[in-house]
Amino acid sequence: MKIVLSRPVYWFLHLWVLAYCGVLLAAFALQFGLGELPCPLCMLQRYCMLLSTLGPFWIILQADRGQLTPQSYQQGLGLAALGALLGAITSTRQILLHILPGDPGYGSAMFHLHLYSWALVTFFVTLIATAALSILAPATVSEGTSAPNPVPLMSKLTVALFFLTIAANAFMIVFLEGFSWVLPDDPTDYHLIEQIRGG
Amino acid sequence: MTVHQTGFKNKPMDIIILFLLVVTGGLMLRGASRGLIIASWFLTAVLIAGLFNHHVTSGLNLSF
Repeated sequence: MKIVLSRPVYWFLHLWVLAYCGVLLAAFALQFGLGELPCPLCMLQRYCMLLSTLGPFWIILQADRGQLTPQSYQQGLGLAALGALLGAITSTRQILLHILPGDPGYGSAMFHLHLYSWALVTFFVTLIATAALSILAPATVSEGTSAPNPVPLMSKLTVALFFLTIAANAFMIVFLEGFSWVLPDDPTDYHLIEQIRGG
Repeated sequence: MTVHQTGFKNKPMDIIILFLLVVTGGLMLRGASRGLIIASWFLTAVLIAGLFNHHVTSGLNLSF
């Protein structure tokens, strides 16, 4: 059985993907603009954001092809929830590392919270969103096979932006990690460049 | 502080994880089979969990 998503849910999924693209691109802006290199736990949170967002990304792709089924819709939401749970565990660990009074935290704060605290907020929002979409599914999903024809430009752009965001992170990590096995606890430079220079 | 000795010691784990994320996204874009996509996603999730375990090298030493 094929299903069709209601327009609000279809566009909400796009908003979800775009929001995480925005978060990850903002992290890039801090990294390259202010020179704040991400620590291993920061990078793990970025991976979890990407992992979680693959859920709605997959749902959008299937909806655009007219191939969405109740099973694949639930599987997409499940992947999003599991990715967010893994990310929440990672963020919580980093928050607890810096929770003692007097600890300045890692990196600079934004709107009074450090980035790992904001990351935990986004993971909670994701978990709430997956729960809400599951609860609302009987009212927002209907039987049908019609794919949007043509696929809206906004949908194509969202899909392209998210895939480019994953690829950009992959490109960046090669420079950050270089020929090392894992990232250092407190990175101070782009390891690949230093290794090529012979540092 | 003790460093956990795990199977990740000799692998460029972050690069492998991001490569797998690109692959999983690519499989979704190409409309690959559901089983393959979910297997790739879970492999990535397991590696992320393993890397997290590798980086957790000490207790939190908190007392309230």
